[in-house]
Amino acid sequence: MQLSKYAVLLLCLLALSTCGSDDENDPVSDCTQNFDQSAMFNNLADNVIIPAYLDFQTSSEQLKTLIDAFIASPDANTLGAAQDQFKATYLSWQDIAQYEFGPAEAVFLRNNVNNFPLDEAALNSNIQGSSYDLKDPNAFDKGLPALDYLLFGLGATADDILVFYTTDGDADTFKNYLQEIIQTIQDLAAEVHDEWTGGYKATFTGGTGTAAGTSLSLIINNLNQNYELIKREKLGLPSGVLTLDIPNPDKVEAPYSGISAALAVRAIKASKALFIGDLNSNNDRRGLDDYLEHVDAMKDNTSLADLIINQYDKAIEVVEALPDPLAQAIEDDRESVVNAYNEVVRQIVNTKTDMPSVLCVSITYVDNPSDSD
Amino acid sequence: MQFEAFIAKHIKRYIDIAPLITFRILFGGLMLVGALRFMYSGWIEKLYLEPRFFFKYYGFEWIQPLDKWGMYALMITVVVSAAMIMLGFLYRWSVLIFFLSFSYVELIDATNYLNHYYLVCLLSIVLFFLPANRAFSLDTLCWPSLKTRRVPAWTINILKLQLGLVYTFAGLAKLNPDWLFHAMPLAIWLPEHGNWPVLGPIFQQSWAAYAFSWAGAIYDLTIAWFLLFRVTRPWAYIAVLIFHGLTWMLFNIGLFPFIMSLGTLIFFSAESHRRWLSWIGYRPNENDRQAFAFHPALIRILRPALIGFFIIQTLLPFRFLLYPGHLLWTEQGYRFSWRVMLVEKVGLATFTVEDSATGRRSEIQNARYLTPFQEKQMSIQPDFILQYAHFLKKEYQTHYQIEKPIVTVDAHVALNGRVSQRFIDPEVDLAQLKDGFRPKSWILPFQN
Repeated sequence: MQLSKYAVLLLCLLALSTCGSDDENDPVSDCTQNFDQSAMFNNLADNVIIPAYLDFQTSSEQLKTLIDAFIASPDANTLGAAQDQFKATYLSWQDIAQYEFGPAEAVFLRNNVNNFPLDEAALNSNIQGSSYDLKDPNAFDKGLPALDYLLFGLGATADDILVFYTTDGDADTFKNYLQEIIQTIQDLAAEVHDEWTGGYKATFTGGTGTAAGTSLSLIINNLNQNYELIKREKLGLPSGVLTLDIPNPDKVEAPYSGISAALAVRAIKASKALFIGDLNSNNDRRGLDDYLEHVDAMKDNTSLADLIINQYDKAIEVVEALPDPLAQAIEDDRESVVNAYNEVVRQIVNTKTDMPSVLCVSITYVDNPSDSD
Repeated sequence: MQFEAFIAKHIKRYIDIAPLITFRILFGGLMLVGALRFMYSGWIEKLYLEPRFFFKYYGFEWIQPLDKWGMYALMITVVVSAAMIMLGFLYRWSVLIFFLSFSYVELIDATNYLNHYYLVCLLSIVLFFLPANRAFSLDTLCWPSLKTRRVPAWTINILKLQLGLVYTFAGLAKLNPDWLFHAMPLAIWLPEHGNWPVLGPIFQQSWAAYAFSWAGAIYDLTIAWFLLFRVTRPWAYIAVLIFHGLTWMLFNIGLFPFIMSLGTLIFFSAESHRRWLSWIGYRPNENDRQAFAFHPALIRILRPALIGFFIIQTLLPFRFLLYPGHLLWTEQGYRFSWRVMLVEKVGLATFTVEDSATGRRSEIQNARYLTPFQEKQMSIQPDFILQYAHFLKKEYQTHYQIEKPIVTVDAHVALNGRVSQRFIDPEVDLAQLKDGFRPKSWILPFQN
């Protein structure tokens, strides 16, 4: 019993020696805070996520209509109308790319809608008649990148493009493929939106808690995962940050329509919208920022929520300053693209390490294949 | 005089072999189940076949993964030798083969380090020297002259000592401010189970994490003592079952609760063990050899060796005192010390390789080289960060013909519910550093 007495004594000593340090500036988060998660999830579902899905669905329906019109009578006007709507749809997509869980995950929405850079060779061989599956998540021959190519990339001018839908020997196959692509996108958009407005919203808003698989864990993980895709795919890889400073301008998103920088801006804005719980305006709705405020998360003597919002604004500002087409900007002034990349990256430590740590949430996308101890 | 009496009673005295037999059967059986579960869960693929890079233990860099068939053969060796231990067949060889194959698997990738794997290795070292096959085994069936009824007391008490050390050090490790005064990391882990019936709402209370933390520390520090004495033993064992039952249900800790719940049966009396063994057919015979004695020459070697074995085990957990800084932060001297479930860390480590000749830089995508689990472990452990940096150096030397790559890291870690802090000096060229036991000055100090 000697040792246990010693242990009790030691415990008491420790208790006495450190009790005084528990003050208001406790750096360690209290994980049992009673923040109303459900209210936040309801707001996110009603005012951020579902409106974004609806917008994308409506936008892709309009695009479908305009592509049908273009195919019915291919001319410069119908092509231009489809092209304009395509840009709107691609921008709208950026708002929902980050919700790759639940219904979207089930249909591999992000892969099926926006796997880029496009594999032109695969797309051309599809048009030449080889078999393909537009719902293969590992294929890069479909989705918005394919539309980018088919609507903008077949020729330098509208007339050059129109050739493929009029006089070209494969004109009918081009038309069919174009229609199939937009049809698939539209179907997927409708399917995921319907799931959300159907049963999934209740699942989402009811998924409270901090364990892996809860809604909090899902949104934080997916926010980060998508944000890392923004930095890597939209800016990092094309600018050469990942490849010994050798730029790969051909790897930008939407290389043919040339709206890459605008898409990146929209994607970062979407990330911010999820964080503040508000899609467009400043209504001070309930988001992750409120959650961080609720647990008094501080970093470098600043509110972590403010820090993150400021960093979003900085990132948006520098990426907005990048001219489109981004591929050209990379050739002309690579340094400014790299600087923008660095500003975007600066956010990650806040959202990927600080936020989950102080909200005591489990990181699921780093899943544990083993036991722990 | 007291010392000699102690030696006589707990070491030299001859006592019934039954507890040792139970221990052998349970240990072998548990290892058998554990290895089968490992294969069945697909962990050979996930942990040993998918990764292209493996983190090493210092001094064991030569241990390499085998190919698919090799890994399966190795794991089946573990299975078969565990079964042979359970059955007591060619016992000493089985233990040796089990120890070697099991340790080999564990040494392949330090990412998968678990305290209870270390315990299994230690127990198999101890078991190698014990006459645990001298009754109720296939060995005694084949060679009846081996049958023995009694063994020196130390052969059983050494197992109690081993388990007692585990508990005690696990308890001492919990005597840190985060555990005691912030209830960390239990304050993070318990509320995750808020959906449990009955206990769920309790887990979400702030006091619950404190209650569990303190109870856990007291349990670990005292349980071995309560198990030692006959009067407290039944209650202590109920506590063992509750404690390990809860941790098994709450946390993803695999075999550990079973190893400890079944292992601590060794504390029970020989009568109890004889009774349990009789249920499965053990019938000691009056004609069996009365006592097993080690050859005096063997004892002369074994005694200092085993004393040394336990002295090393006792010193290892204190080696952290030789390193500056906060142990939970730097993790220098963290492993092999029964520091169980002490930290929750979120890490982010972004490496950059620069060609010193041209100034060209590449940011590294960790996912290209590491599995998500490896990346998670790497980002919070400095020796892994260094190993990975050296791997990147080699990678860029061989695949990109860069003669002298400079490898730096932008690393941040959030410890136990805090915001993150920079973890590693971002200016340091990791490619130039050598790993070793010296303090790692490039770990930035923890600011509380």
